[in-house]
Amino acid sequence: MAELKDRQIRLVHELMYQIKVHQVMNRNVVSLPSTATMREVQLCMKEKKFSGVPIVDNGNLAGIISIDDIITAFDHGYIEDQVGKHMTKNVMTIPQNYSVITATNIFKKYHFGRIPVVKAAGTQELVGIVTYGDILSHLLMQVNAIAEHFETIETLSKRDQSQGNVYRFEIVQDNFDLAGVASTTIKKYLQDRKILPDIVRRIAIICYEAEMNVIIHSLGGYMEVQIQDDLVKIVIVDEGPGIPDLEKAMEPGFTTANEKIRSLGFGAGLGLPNMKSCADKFSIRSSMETGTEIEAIVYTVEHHKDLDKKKT
Amino acid sequence: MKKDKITIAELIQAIEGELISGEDKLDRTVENFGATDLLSDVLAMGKSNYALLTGLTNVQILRTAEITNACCVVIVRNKQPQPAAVSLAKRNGIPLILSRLTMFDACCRIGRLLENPDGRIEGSPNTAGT
Repeated sequence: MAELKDRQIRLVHELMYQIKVHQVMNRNVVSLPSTATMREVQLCMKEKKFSGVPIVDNGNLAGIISIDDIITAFDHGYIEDQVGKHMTKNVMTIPQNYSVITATNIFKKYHFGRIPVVKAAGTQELVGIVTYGDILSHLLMQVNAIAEHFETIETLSKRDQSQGNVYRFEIVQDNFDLAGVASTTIKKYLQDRKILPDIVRRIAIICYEAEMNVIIHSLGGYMEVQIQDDLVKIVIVDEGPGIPDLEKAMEPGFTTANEKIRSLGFGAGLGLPNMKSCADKFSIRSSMETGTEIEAIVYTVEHHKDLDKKKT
Repeated sequence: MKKDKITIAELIQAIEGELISGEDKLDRTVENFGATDLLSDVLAMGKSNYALLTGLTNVQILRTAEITNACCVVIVRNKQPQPAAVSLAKRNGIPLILSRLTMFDACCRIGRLLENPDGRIEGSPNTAGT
């Protein structure tokens, strides 16, 4: 039990390092220029129920006005002054590529309600704003997704005992952190069955590319792997949106992946062609109504494949 | 004398690497090499028992290594791996190596080692300026 708790804490800790500020921040920042009056800031706070408003000139953060500043302005009678004179300058900011652990440390140390997020270290270009609540809710979501994933693996190992050779994995859209977990699990099962390393490798690659595809391009889906005596059959089904031009999608190098996916080392348009070349039999069907379905077969007994080739 | 295989220990020495995990696999031989920031390329490369040199730092470099039977992963340009990558490397015992060299320099050093394996005895710092 103690070990489980320890694992959970470590997991949250790892996540805090992995999750970057830009993933949790609010991008729709309401800001005012330094030529605005204190009154305008006050009205803005009242309308949006904010307790702090960043002051931005030409996209760069110039300062911040908090509700305390507004109260002082009323007190000293300069509520009609421009904010430039009264705002807090040298605001503490955080670059968007920093991990949320750094943001959390700043919140803990200074008791800020929010931290303005800048494009990169050393710049003042405002790209978002982050609160403690943003971090917490994102973290909870991640922990939840991981918990669900492990539940799937657990049910899977139960199925393993009852059915012997069918493994099913749910794949969640956009969940990069867990991409490959299903494939590495499958790989271990295949290794346990003493299948030749090169064949195991080809099957694992198909599964991994499939997992990536579902995560990157679809709304989610599942992968089912059937281990039979002389072959392994991999079926991948997603819930859509479907591939508009299947012929084009099979061309090496054709991709619709975005910059974020490319920065992770994927999305080069090699996934489907690679799956096909790793498989002995490969078929793909896609519909814009129901989604995409792929079936790949790899023979696990070498001579079987040779016989097949001689016949043709 | 040309050589087409080197050990992980020799590789680490050549690229002035720091070993983070997989200490027990230092004397394994590296048969192939792949240097890329595109994991899709690695998956399509069709080689196993290779050293993966990359500028990526995410957990997927280790998953890709595991899937494709890589023998070690090198992160170049003094980048720090993400904590999840380190813990996965440790869990699976895959050697994860950090090098301050650029990708180009790291590849040159390895190339030189393969061309002239005896040269490594002289030590590696004589390659400054590459």
